[in-house]
Order: sequence, then structure tokens, then C-alpha cells
Amino acid sequence: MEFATILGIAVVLVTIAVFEGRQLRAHQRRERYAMITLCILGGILAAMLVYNMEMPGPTQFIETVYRPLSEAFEQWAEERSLQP
Amino acid sequence: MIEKGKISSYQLGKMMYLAIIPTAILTSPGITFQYARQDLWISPLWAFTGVIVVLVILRLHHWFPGQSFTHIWVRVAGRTVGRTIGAIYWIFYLYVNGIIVREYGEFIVGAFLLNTPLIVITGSIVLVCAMAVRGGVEIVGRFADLFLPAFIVLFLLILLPIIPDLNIEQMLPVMGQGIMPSITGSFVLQIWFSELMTISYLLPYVHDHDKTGPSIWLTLIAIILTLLISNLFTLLLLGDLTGSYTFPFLILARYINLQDFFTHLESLFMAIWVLCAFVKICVFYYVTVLGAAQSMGLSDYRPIVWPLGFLLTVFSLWVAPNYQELAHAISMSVVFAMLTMFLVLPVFLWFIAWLKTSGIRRSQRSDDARSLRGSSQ
Repeated sequence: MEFATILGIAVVLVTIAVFEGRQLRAHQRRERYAMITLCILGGILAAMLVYNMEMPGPTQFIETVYRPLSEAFEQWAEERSLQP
Repeated sequence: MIEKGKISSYQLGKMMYLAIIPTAILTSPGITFQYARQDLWISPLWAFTGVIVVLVILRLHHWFPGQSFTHIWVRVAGRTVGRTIGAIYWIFYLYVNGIIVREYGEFIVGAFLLNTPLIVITGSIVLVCAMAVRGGVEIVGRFADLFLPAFIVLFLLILLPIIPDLNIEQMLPVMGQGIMPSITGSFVLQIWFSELMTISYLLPYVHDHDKTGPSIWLTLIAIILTLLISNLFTLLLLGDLTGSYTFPFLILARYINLQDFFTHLESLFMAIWVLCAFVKICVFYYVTVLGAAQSMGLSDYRPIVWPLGFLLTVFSLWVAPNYQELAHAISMSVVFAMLTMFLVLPVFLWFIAWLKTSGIRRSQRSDDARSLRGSSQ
């Protein structure tokens, strides 16, 4: 099952890369590298998600960074709601 | 310039209106109710962030005409810093758009297509959006033109039939605990107002600059009014139950029943939602692609549309393992992250630019004064 998903992802990405690569002109090397790098990044991320759905993501990162602020806000809102 | 298309100021306004309203109508009444209670309809009036962001962005664009947000950073802070911040911005836009796509998918799966896998729904909307984005900013602008009348008609079609059932006593006492609960409740609403920062990427492609200011302010007022009306109607119909639904506005649409004949209007709401979410995802997707192309220094943004679409689909799954965690994050830490990116950093940029350009402006002013004196003599 997992292998089939990975294969599907690979087919999608190769189709994108071939389709876009043929539309680029020869001198657009920077665009070609950017496109292929983004495809590879997407492929790696998708494959990692297939094997581990619970992988920590950007939301966890943002929550860690802003934890002090959000805790302070929650406490402040709670104190406010307790007032008669 | 990467993009050759041009849009009008009013198209920009319509795009921004449709890019902010759909998710705001859907989730904001429930989240605002937690803090504001019966004052939740006052909360949209506290649009501080919207006003600040629009002022700052219009000012920046006045100083650097024809430059997008990434380019202004490059001009102000230098090439390396500017491009790095540009890269952080497009990755953040990708993340925010991932949240939007996920919300869209969860809503469609949760309310209508109960047995469809999430990935099919998110994948197909990203596919459609990728085609529109590949067409350029003009295409996205015309979609906004096309869908805004449909949105207004369907929106009124939901609101008008429930007017007889509204209970005006639900909103009493107005400001019973003073003004503070409504301001606290507006905290989460600030993320939608701060999304107006997106105009910074689109302003270089507007061809009638004299109308930009009025149309953006009109957009902000329209957003505030729409949120006020939708929050007020939700409150007057549902009362204290508002906070217990994930999508209170959907309950409004389900409630409509005219003579046992005109029922199940939630399909109308679904139509609104799909149209607006399409424009919303397109605008954010377009800004992601444009920001990525600009910060990587590409000559064309079209080659990276499809790879970024794939990444967007992956991000929509990656943002959170389930909707509850996502909803909790949206009402707390994501608000701070969006305020940092869409409010604090633009204000910071404005401040540096103001310091840098004040010297130039002073010399200009003395020039103006000299020419005035010359003409009066």
C-alpha cells in the first residue's frame, strides 16, 4: 500500500517535471533548477508523510515559538472572564 | 517584470474581499463568541490591524512605486537579507494556504461529502487553482469579478429568509461588561484583517493607481460590514449556542425553511463557499508562486506553479494531524505568527524605509518650497 502511494507520488512529480521541463527554453537554467528542486522537496516531504502521518509539522514549530505569548493571552482572557 | 498582466484597482479590491471573507464568515462567529459573548457583532469594528496594514502598505507603495514586497525589502535591507525575508514570506504563505486548503477540505468532508477521502477534495481544488494561477494575475482578477455578484446574491438569499425568526433580545445587554469583551473577541479576527497585507504583492500590477487607495479602504469597510452582519445574524438566531458549533453560519443556512418547500439551503452555502474558497486559494497560491519566483530571482513564475501546487497539497496534510488541533492552533499561536508576519514585519519595514527616505524627502520638500517661492514671485 505504502509502496503504491510512493509510486503514485513519483509518477505525479515526474509528469510535472517532464511537462514543465519541455516548455522551458534552453537558456532558462535557473528556472529548471528551481523547478526540479521544488519537485524533489515535495517528493521527500510527501514520502516522509506517507510513512509517518504524525510527523511534527510547521504548526508545532509555531506553537513552540509563540507558547509564552499564547499562555499569557489565555491567562489574561481567563482573568477577564472571571470578573462579574 | 515577471508578470505582464494588469488588473484594475476594483479587481484588486474584489480579490481581497473574496480572499478574506469566506473563512472569516465560516469560523469567526464560533471563535469570537468565546471571548465576546453577546457582543460578538461589535468585534469586527475593532479592525486596528486592517487600518494599520493598509496605511503602511499604501505608504510603502507610494515610496517604492511598481515594487513588490520582496523587492522593497531588497531595496531597503540589501540583496541577501531581502531575498531571505522574501523566502520566509513565501514559505509562510505556503503554510497559510495549506491551512486554508485543509479548512476547505475539512468543511466539505465534514458537512457534505462524508465518505470522500480528504486528499481527493484538496487535490482537486489545488489542481483547478494551479490552472488559474498559471494563467496569471489577470485571470485570478477576472474570477473575482465573476464570482463577487454570485457571492452577494447567495449571501442575501441565506440572510433574508431568516429575518422573521431573529430574536432581538439575544443581543441584550449590549456591552453589558463594558467595551473590553468585544475587543478581546476581535483578537482572532485580526488575522483576517492582517491578510490585507497581500495587496503589497499585487499593487505593482494595478494600472490605475489613482483609484487604489479608495478601493482598498472600501474593501476594508465592506469586510467589516459583512462580518458584522453575519455575526449579528448568527447571534440573533442561535444566541448562546453560537459557541458550540464549529461552523455556526452553516447552521443558519440549514435552519431556513419556507413553507416546507424551500429547504436545505446549505447547498447554497456550499456553492458560496466553493466559489470564494477558490478565489481565496488562488490569491494566496499566486502570491506564494510570485514570492518564490522573486526571491529566487527567476525570469518566469510559471515553471514553479505545479511543483508548488504539489507542495501545497502536501502542506495541507502536514499542518495538523486532525482538525481539532488545527482549530486550536488557529485560535492561538497561528494568530501571533500571522500578526508577526503580516503586521509587525511590514511596520518594521515601513519604519526602516521611513528612516532611509526621510533624507530624500527633506531635500524634495526644500525643492518644492523653492519652486513655490519661484512661482509666487
